[in-house]
Amino acid sequence: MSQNFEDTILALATGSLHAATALIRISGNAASTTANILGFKLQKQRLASVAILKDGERKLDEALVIFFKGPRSYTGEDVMELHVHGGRAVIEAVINTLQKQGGFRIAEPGEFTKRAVLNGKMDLTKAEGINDLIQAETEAQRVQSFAQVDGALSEIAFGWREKAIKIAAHVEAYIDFPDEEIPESTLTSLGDEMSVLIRDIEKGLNDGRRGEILREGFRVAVIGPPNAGKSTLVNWLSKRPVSIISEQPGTTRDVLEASLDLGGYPVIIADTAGLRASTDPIENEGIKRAQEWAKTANSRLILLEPSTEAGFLERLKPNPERDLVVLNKIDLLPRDLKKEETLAISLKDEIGLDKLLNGLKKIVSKRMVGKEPPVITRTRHREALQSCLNSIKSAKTALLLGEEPEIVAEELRASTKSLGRVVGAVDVEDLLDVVFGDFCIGK
Amino acid sequence: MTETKVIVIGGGHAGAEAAAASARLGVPTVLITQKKETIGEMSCNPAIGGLGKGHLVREIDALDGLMAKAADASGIQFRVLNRSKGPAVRGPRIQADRDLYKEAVQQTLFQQDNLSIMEATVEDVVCEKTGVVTGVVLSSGEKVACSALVLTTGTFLRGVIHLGESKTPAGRIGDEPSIGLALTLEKFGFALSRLKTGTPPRLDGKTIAWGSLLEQNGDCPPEPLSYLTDEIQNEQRSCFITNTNETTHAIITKNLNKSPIYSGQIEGVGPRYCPSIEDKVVRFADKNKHQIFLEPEGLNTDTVYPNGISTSLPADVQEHLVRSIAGLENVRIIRPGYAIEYDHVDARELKHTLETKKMAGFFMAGQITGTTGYEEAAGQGLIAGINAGLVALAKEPNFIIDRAEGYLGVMIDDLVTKEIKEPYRMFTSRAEYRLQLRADNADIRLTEKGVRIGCVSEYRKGRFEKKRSNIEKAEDTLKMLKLSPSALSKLGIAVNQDGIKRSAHELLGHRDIGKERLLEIWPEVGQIPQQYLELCRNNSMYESYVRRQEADIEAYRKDENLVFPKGMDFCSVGGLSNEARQALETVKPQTLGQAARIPGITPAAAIILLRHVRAQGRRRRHLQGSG
Repeated sequence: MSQNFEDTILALATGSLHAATALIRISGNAASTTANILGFKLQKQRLASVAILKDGERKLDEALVIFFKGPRSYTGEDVMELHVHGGRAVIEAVINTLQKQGGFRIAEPGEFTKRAVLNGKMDLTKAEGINDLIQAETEAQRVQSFAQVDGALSEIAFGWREKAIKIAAHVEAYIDFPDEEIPESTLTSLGDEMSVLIRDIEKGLNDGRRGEILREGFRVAVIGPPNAGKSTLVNWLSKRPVSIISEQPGTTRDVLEASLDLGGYPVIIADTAGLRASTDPIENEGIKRAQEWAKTANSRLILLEPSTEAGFLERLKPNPERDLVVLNKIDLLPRDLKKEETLAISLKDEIGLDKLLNGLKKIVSKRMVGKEPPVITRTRHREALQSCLNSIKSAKTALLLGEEPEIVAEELRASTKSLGRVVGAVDVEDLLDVVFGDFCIGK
Repeated sequence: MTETKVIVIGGGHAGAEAAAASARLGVPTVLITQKKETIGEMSCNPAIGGLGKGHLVREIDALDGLMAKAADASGIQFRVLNRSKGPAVRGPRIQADRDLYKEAVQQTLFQQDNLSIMEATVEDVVCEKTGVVTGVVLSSGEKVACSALVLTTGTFLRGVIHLGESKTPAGRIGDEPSIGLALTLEKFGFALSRLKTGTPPRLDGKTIAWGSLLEQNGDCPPEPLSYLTDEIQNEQRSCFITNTNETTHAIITKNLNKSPIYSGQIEGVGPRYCPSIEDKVVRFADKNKHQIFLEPEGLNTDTVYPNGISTSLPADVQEHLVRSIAGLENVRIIRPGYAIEYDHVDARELKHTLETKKMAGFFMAGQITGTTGYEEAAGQGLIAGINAGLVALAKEPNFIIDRAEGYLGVMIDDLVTKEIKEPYRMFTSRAEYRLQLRADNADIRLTEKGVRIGCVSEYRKGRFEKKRSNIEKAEDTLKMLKLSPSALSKLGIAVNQDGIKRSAHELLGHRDIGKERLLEIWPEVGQIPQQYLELCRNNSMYESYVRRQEADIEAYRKDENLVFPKGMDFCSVGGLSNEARQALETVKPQTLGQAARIPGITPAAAIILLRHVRAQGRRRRHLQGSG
């Protein structure tokens, strides 16, 4: 994908058409020329005014227009906002008039935010948060995305960055200024500071991957013997016919996913092939896929039916913390035979379905609700922080083993480099600022 | 004088190295100085080397420069700093006899082939064709032609000395400042700004109560700075340590209004790592004492340099304050300390060869580029001198040391890339590949490169090649000697029982295994001379880290090889923030790597630059193809 950053970009910023209003956003050097092209007078910047948009003498629409002079704009460039009426023909007419002029092109998805990052209007973590906020489908996702836009990760990681810089700077001072009465205790006391930082970062990392799961969806695999009612259950949960239902065992062959909002949490529920010994290669492939999906799922909903053989459940080794065992088709059983300990339902007669939903919510919230909200929402953050953590641990080990300070410093350099991938690179000047601020150095 | 090819203006540490290096390339060279007798003068403290600085001196020596040899000839105390730390961060330093040092530098220069010394003041630079230097004009009006010029004015460019409330124009105490050249630089459009540095009062050693002070001896035996010096001949001297106290601090606080730094009389920025005693007392008010090193200035002088109390307070206050210090109660000040303000050029106007971007054949080196310190100056002089020599030989001036090759490279790259906010001094923390850039392997890193360009004498080349082959032999021997983990554990050496044999070379770098232990296992190790064994040990010690850095270095060099087209217009690159665009316009980086190191250039901005260059390359090829 090649992009020319010299262009002025424009795009419809609002969603579905046939709406009362729609926002056309224009960003770049030519944004201010929009007024001229569309035949209206540019009013004071950052103030809304009403204008008739024209293509030559042809009137296009009456719009509310606002001009933001860069760098005081979302992208940091000149930005024009045209709030037009939300009809397809209106929008096409306005966009076509601009494009005819040359120098304007339709923005790629996310390009406005990308320019904002490139122009230093926001850091990458905030931009990622904005993207998540746009994608957010559940309340919990909204809360988490907004926290990131608001700087939740930036702030915490920035705090770690400062601590890491201080530690590295003290080691550097100890190395570079041997004549300056920097006591050896400077170095030994850093062990404690490293421990604190290690603990903080570990705590951040040790969030059960809740942030990533919340972004990507909590994965529940519905597994069980053929014909237990898995497809019926998934259709019922997602309130739509995801899977074909028939009396025939082994109807579901592939893994079929459906999304649902469970108490604000996004859940991806998967219908899978019934587990049994089969000679049909296609069915066997389906069973293999079911098992693989279940292996990486956050939870398994094991659906049984009264005729399921006794050893089936045992072989799956259910974990009560994360799996839910459900017995379906209790309508077929005499009343006194129902087992108390198992969640017993009938999808056919809609018995016990509330309890099933509650059970599922409990499993999801057990995993997703923590003492503190998670700040890591992406694998990219996790990998960078994990590698930072490993380096600080190596530095601490080197320090405790009494290895040379330049070895300790080397590990710390690696740690700040990793951290820099989340919150801005660490330069030698950052270290020297601390060195000269904390020690009276120089003869 | 139509013969002259390279002119060097200034006879300080930068000028001396530049002139000698150009002459070593076989280029007829003239060094122009105001006073022949001050060539090689140590204007500040009588010491050479230290952390980072000692590394620079060894690198200068590796390229056959003067500084290390002159230091060895004049050293009256030798100490390797950081002996308790690893070899990568050990920095050799010497205390010099000022007169002997100057004498050694002068002797080398006076005997150097192709080099002549001229006593004169340069008033102007001639630039006859647009953007090419063709000569200089002396104060006598005489013109001297050249094909390349190295300007090393030190603190002389519009220098002003501050002592209390008095201000005196001077380049150094007792020397005239250079005003004409400052005007010349302005005429050519170089942006000048002010920096400041200071020096302490000089004391009469006969009036110091030495007996009460802590003595600091040098190393015994002394370790020379030059790879060519086998033995130090001079008699050795000690330094002594005393401290300021609360009375001293009270005197300073009371008289702060008389200090030009605090009265606002000085606008130049001073270095944070070399603060005046006024600065120390104000900024670290909670410290009740500051250390002072009393350094001898020579074998035949009583003058003592009190390192740690640089000051520009009035002379009477200086006397009052030094006499409050233990051991100095009756001291006599020979010459008061002072602060000096001077002009420097924004080094971002220079290329990595230290040639100015504005004018071909015009080089700058030393304090004029915003650095401080003899070693930093000498290092730049050497590189500028070699490249000026190459210009004179009508060759491409392309002698550049990169950041992975040496501290010289780190320094010059920092200077030409980053804005200087205080005088630039070398620290080992500035070198990201520090573990490979040791003071003990500078010759291994650089001498061959120097031989190729022609700045290294036959004598040094011969010694170097012998040494290198001896080290290779030693490493081969050590790598051949191998034992399995189980055999080693029987000998009491614990390694992972992974079945992989360990060589003597690997074990040598292990912190818990001494050389003696190795000798017990393999007596043949004893045949390796001590100095080579030590080098092998140091190589082995960092081997795993060095290997880890190889990928970084490869990436760094890849970016360094992506050269922007000449005269690239950074303003035309769309998508960059105004800040980034401005930074790029100021620095005009020559490579993608340099651009990425400019503060304010984010990785994203670097990617835009990369795309822009690639797209332009395609466009150009396309045009060529169709045309």
